[in-house]
Amino acid sequence: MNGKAKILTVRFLGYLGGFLLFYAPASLVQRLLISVFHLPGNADIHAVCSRVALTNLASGKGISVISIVGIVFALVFLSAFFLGPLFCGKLCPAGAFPEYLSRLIPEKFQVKLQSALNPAPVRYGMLAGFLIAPVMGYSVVCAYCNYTMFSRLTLSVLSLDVGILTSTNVITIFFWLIVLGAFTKGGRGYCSYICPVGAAQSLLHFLGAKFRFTYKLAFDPHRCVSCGLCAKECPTLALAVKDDGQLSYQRISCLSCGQCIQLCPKKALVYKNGADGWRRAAGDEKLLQPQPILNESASS
Amino acid sequence: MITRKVSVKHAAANALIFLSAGVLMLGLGHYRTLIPREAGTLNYLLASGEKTSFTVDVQDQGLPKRLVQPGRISIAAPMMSLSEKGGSHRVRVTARGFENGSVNFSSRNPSFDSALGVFSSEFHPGEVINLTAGLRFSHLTAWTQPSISEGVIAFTDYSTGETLGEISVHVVNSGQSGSGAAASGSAGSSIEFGQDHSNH
Repeated sequence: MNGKAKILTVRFLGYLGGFLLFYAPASLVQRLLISVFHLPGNADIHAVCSRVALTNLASGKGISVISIVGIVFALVFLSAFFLGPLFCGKLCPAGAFPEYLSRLIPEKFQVKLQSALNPAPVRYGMLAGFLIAPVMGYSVVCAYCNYTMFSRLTLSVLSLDVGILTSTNVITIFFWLIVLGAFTKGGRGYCSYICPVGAAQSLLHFLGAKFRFTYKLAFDPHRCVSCGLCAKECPTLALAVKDDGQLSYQRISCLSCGQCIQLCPKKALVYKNGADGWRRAAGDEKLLQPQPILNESASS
Repeated sequence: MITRKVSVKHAAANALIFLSAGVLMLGLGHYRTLIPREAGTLNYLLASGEKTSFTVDVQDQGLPKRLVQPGRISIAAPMMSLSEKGGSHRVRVTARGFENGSVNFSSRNPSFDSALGVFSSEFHPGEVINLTAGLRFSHLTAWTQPSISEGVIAFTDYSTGETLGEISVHVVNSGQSGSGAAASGSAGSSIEFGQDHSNH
């Protein structure tokens, strides 16, 4: 097994773990919280859905911290602030499924969507719409949900029946798996543009990364040989090699999947706290360009 | 100066994209409200002994659903037991008729045995139970027949066999002439269409 296959396999095991933790039939997190702490709720993905929690927070309903969804929401979002969107990058099988699907499609049929259309304004516009929708009387919390669809698809493997779909289900599958999945380079188009949970986590990570005590992707330009391997394999295209050979990084699009760190032959990319080694480029606030890491070892 | 102009232009473009994306999400939410009959909701008063009717029109489905699954229809039925009948019931739900297709029942209530169509726990007066009936017909039938199918969903007490209520379901395609689908969505006094709860 070559290095890339090994990394993908290890990542797959993480997503498998996420599936066992949150999705029926195992739903280990829900079962643990129900059986040990006697919290009310069902052992399915809806019981831990952060989309519901976000909607309730935005609409003023709030969420109870002593509930299954409250505990999971707190863990996911606190970890996003301190450690990056690890749920997205390490555990979320609904996000990983189209990524792995996209690896089956030849690259010549795929669009580098995130390079052509900056994800940040789209995903935060979508997030704003998602949060405003209930106020306007629209419910989009379960419609267009990839968690729900992933749950239904996996359960349909057992029953050989996907069940009765609605139009919003059909639209979700079409964009999540096909347009923004299989035929988008990296397969993470839904994560980059639509998922409100991913957008909220990335925003927290973006803010958290400004503090030295938080963990983030750091870069040592002295080690970088501009091979472009990290950028080529980045599922969200958050890393890119610019025309001048410099590596650029959009933290707001990063999943913290760690694939770039594992692939880098020179260990120029590391996951650590402290200074991150990136600096803002003049004229583009979102584009981060490398600068030497001051007084810190990149491999620490 | 040039850098500032580029920066302002860049910010304006991003703001426009941001607003467009927000409007798109709201549009998707609005689209969902346009197709509430795609999965009809029937608020049914169980244990009233009431016999009522319910008409489903496949033309009420949104285009994506009609293209992919025109012959699969979901009817969500939150049932409320009436208190004046008194007593509690172990409810059994059965379907008869529906000769062109099949019916299966599901519920988020963990006591529901979908194979037998029986709630193992008792159904107390005033309690609301969720039940979804899934009706399945062939695509060809759904596209070509003005009157696709009809049948009855019956509720009985599993222990005594007492009839608790019946819903007469008529599935039509108003896109075909002579379907009599002017009655689409019409039903008895206790019935109303609501939002799709099937995927929550």
